[in-house]
Amino acid sequence: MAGTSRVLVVEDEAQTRERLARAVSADPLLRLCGAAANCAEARVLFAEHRPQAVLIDLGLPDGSGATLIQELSALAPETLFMVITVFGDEAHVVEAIKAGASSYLLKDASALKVARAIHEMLAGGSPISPGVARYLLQRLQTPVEPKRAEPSAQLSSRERDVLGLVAKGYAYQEIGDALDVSVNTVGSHVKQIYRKLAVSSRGEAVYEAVQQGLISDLSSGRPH
Amino acid sequence: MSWVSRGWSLLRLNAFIAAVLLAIALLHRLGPGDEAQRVQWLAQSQGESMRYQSQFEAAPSSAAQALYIESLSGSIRVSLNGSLLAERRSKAEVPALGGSQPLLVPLPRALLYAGDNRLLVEQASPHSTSTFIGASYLGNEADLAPHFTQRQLLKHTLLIGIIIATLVLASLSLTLWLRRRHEKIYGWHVLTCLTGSLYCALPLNPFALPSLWLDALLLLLFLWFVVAAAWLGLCLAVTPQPKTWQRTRLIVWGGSAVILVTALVCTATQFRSALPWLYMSIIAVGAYTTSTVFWRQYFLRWDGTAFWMLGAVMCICLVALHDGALLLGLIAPDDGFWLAYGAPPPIIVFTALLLRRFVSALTEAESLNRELEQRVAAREAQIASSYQALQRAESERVVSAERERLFGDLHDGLGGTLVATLSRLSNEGAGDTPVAQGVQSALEDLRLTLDSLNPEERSLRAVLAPLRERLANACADAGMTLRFDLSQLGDDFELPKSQTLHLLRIVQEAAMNAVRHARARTLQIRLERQRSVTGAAVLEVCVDDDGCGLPATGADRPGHYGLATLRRRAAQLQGHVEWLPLQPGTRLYLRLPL
Repeated sequence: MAGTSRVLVVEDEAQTRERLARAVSADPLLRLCGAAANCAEARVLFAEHRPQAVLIDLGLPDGSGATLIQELSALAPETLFMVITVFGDEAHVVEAIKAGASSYLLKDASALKVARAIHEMLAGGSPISPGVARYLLQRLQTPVEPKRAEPSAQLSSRERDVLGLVAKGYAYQEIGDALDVSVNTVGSHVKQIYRKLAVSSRGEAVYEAVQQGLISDLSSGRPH
Repeated sequence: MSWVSRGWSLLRLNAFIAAVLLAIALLHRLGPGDEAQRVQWLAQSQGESMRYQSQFEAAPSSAAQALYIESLSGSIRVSLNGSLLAERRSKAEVPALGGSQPLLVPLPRALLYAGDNRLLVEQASPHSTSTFIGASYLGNEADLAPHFTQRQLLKHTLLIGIIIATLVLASLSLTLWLRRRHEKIYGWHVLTCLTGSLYCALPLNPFALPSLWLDALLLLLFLWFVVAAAWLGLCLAVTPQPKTWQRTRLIVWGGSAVILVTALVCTATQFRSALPWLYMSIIAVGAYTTSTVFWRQYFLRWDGTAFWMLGAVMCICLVALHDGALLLGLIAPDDGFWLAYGAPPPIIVFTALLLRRFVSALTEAESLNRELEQRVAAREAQIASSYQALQRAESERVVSAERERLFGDLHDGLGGTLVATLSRLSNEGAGDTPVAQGVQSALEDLRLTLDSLNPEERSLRAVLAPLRERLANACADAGMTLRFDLSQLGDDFELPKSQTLHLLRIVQEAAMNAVRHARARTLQIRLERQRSVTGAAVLEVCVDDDGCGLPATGADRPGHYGLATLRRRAAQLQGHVEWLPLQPGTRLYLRLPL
């Protein structure tokens, strides 16, 4: 069905799942391809429909939503994941972004907002809060160990500017005005930043795994 | 320094040296004039002694007569017409204090003949260049006595004064040196002062040493004085090279050895004849140092220090040359030796320089001390502030961890339940009922509480950001435009945490009132720091809508739109809230004292 985007909803709480599903269905440009209550269902529906956007809760009865995001995004890198959270707090959002999510949504968001958020995400933008921006600035700006800092995970100066302004509480429109770019560009910068956090988190995970002896040292090629 | 100034400096230098030498010479020239008769001596060497004889006719005056000799060296016996009148014992030959004292001998009338009288002065040392008899006068004792007193003041009391002053300086330096052993320069000052004073004082109170050994000791003291003074000057003027120190040591030990060996192997007569040459050699060492160090420094630096050092050492050099010439028999020995008078200028100058050095070291130490104190104070303040920051960070960490735990709990608990309830209401078509709105409000209030609790989020702008995003969504859903104007707030503006939550609630409630009830198209929220009429800082909050305005009786019916709650919240902040009609719309105006 050309022109519409397939959306999968993964949420264990039935009422919320239903409301989100209705919100997606209500938008003419979005097509709900399924609503899963747990990881297992999500995997099946995902494999079946290959959705372009997935709305996903982090706390699922049979596993972590973050792990699921990682797993599914490895299968289909073009799929965009949006984590649904009650508060939009940085602990949940950052966990999701590290796993590969590119947006977040409050669980009680109105139907209109749900549709708007999915369209914004599909258009390449990502929302961000000052708390998340501050976390990212601390994490990505000053790599503690050069070994762990992949070049692809380092912020450009423009991205640092964006994060700095977000952390101070500026809205996208104000940041766009300050940096003389469009609101969409600010959003795509944030998306890039999210991608870098995901990349650096993967690098970090590998590094820590090597440190802990979970993975054999790639350079020596022999298991510990 | 220009050539003219250099010329003037040289001129002043010469004038200074000439003035000092002239003063010494003039002091020695204050002799009796016409009131006395100059005695002509017939000198005669007789074995180990010298005899000076003179004949005179006694004056007819009835006043008491006397013989006044301005300067006389060695042990003396004075007799008149065969009767012994006076005797003085002295052993030193080297030009030192005891070597040239004045003598006033009253001539008893009973011993005087009417015709020729015979005066005899026996000097109990063989003839040499260092034994001499100065200008002698015969006359009224009353006339001659003041001259004798003057001369004794010059040749005895003044010198003792100089010696005592020098010893005082030496003891001061010694005290300094004992506390600051590493500052060797004080040690050299002590040695200079001590050897100089001993050299002058030794013949005053002679030990029972044979004259040869006394002279040898005096020569040694003189050598040590010259070397110590030269080295002290060198240290004051420049930083001496190790090579120079080696050479100095060679001179001291070599010179001392030569003097001791000469004293050991020579007979008294031989030693006496070698004395002027040994003395001149020491003077040569001093003169060499003067030319290589002080003149060079003077021509290199042309400054006050170099000027005074050179002037002072030139004085002692020229005085020593005078004494050398006297020892060698090149000038008449009328006035005796001058060395002791040439010593004060360099000692004064060197002491002054040393004192200046000490004072500047002290000043530097004090300023360093002050600087250190300031740095310590700054460091302490830094540590204190670091400690405070650490404490703050720690408490923030605790709050942060607690908040995270709260987030987790609320996410799965209360928050999740509220969301589920809202979803159910929405799914059952009751999404716009007051019940749903109440649940929504509860959820929003929970979010505000959590937003305001964030310890890392200090600036009000950042604290407002999540609310701003939620309001933007609410406005977007209602087809309204939201303008949030924080441009006058400043990035770092902070409010106490206790006030923040109230403010967030007021803004949220006022904004949501407008969204729900005002049927407006635009909502504008502006926060601004202002000065009140009394000059106190206030925070002004305006929530403007262009909607239908409050009902005419709205102000009389607070509570209808939660207005009473807003008033209560404003009162809790000691603020003032009012609703102002706009054309069209309503403004909520809140003023908070800061």
